[in-house]
Amino acid sequence: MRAKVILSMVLLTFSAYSCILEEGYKPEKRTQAAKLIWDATSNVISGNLYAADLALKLDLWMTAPESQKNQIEDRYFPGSKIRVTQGVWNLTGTPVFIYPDNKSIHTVGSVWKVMFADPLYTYPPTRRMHITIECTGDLEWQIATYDGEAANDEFEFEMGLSGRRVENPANAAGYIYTVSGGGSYIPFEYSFINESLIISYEVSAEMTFHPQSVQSLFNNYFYRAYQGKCSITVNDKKNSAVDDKILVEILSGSSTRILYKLTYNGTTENWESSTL
Amino acid sequence: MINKLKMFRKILMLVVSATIFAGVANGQMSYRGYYNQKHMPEAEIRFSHGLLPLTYDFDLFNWSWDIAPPSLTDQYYSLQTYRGNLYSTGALSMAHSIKVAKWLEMGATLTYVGNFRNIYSTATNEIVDRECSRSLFFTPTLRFAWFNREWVRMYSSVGLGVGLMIKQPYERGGGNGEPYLEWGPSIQLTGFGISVGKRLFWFSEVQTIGTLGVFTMGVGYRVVPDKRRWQR
Repeated sequence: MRAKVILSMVLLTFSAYSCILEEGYKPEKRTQAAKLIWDATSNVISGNLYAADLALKLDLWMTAPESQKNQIEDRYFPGSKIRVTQGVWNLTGTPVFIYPDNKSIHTVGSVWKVMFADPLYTYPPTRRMHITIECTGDLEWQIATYDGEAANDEFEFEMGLSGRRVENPANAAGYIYTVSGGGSYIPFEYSFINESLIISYEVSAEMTFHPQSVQSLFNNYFYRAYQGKCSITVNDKKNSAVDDKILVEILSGSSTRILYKLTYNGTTENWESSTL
Repeated sequence: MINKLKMFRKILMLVVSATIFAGVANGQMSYRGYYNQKHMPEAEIRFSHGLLPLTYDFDLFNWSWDIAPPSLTDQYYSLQTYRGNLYSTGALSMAHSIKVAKWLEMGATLTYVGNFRNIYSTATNEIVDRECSRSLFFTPTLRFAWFNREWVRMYSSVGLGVGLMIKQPYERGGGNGEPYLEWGPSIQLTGFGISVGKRLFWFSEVQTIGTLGVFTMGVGYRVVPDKRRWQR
């Protein structure tokens, strides 16, 4: 009898309540880290394509008949005016400066330069950078980008791109681009001082980037991949053991949704992105 | 760090004072005719389990005003793992007290609280690590019994002491971070406590807050029952 009483007391004492203080959180997908890196890489490519697109649109304006200049300016540079000082063109209200060659950007061998004198804190954020655009053929260019003044100096971008004009404009974009090449970068986000990842990427099957509308301070479009493949390697300058591999395969893309496949350290999952 | 040491010394002094005060107060008890009857003051030991004890990793203490968004590097590493349920042992306590007056008991409580959670790999769902904290509290306690019967007692209590917590957090990139130790006060306020039984008794405390938990239940044993007092 006494043993039963003691046992009851002990059981009542220690089984009266649950011991879980906080529920854990299990993510829905296993390749979320890879998606984060692909989004950042896609934004880096988009920033460079946006810069190239500005130069190409300026060339359209410069080579247009006088009667069409206002129309072109309204369509391609909404919210800004294009002004020239000592041969350097500026989009008013932005830190974007364009240095044209003496020749049209469509003339093989011509070299145009674009400088983002300050970061564009827009979507996606674009770092301060110098971009060189060299025409290599009919609607084909080679882009090389560097950032000599960056807080973290790991930034390279070298890509060949071919363009075709946007036919039905939903925004101010001038061209759709197919790219090949690669580069590397340390992420540039709002807390870029604390970044230690070094992300290298190589377009393994030509990727086509289409303009996507967005309402932002400096731009009303950015670029998203609709097809192609990209291989990405993630390293960490503070931890040499980090060597993660990501393969991105765009399965289909349209203005309403993009389907793609991410393979991250051997795990493959499908993802879907809708428009913003 | 110096401030923490100073605070710890102050708390230690308080604990020592309280312990000495308990001894002195016990010394003031009237033992007239007591030893003749071979009666020692009533003493008891208690074993209890408390729900939701306050330890030094309570979220309120970790509040940060830094609202800067995390870097992409931090986001990347945090997405590689996820945290499982946070389990707690609750407050496992052992207490000893002596009755220095009909309405007053003085004693001390030793409490252990362990919290832990597993860290899982997002890719494989396997456990890659575990983060945990272990806390130990020493809490001298005054218990005011305002209802005394042979089988039932009701009381309120207050306790003040010291505690320490050893915390081993999980850090990104795999592996545990450096364990660290925190000192601090151990405070327990109990609004309502009830014990039922004679030598062997069950007890529960509610309306409580502090390092022993917000709701406590346990069993105790009166080592030297003062049956004479039950009859008063």
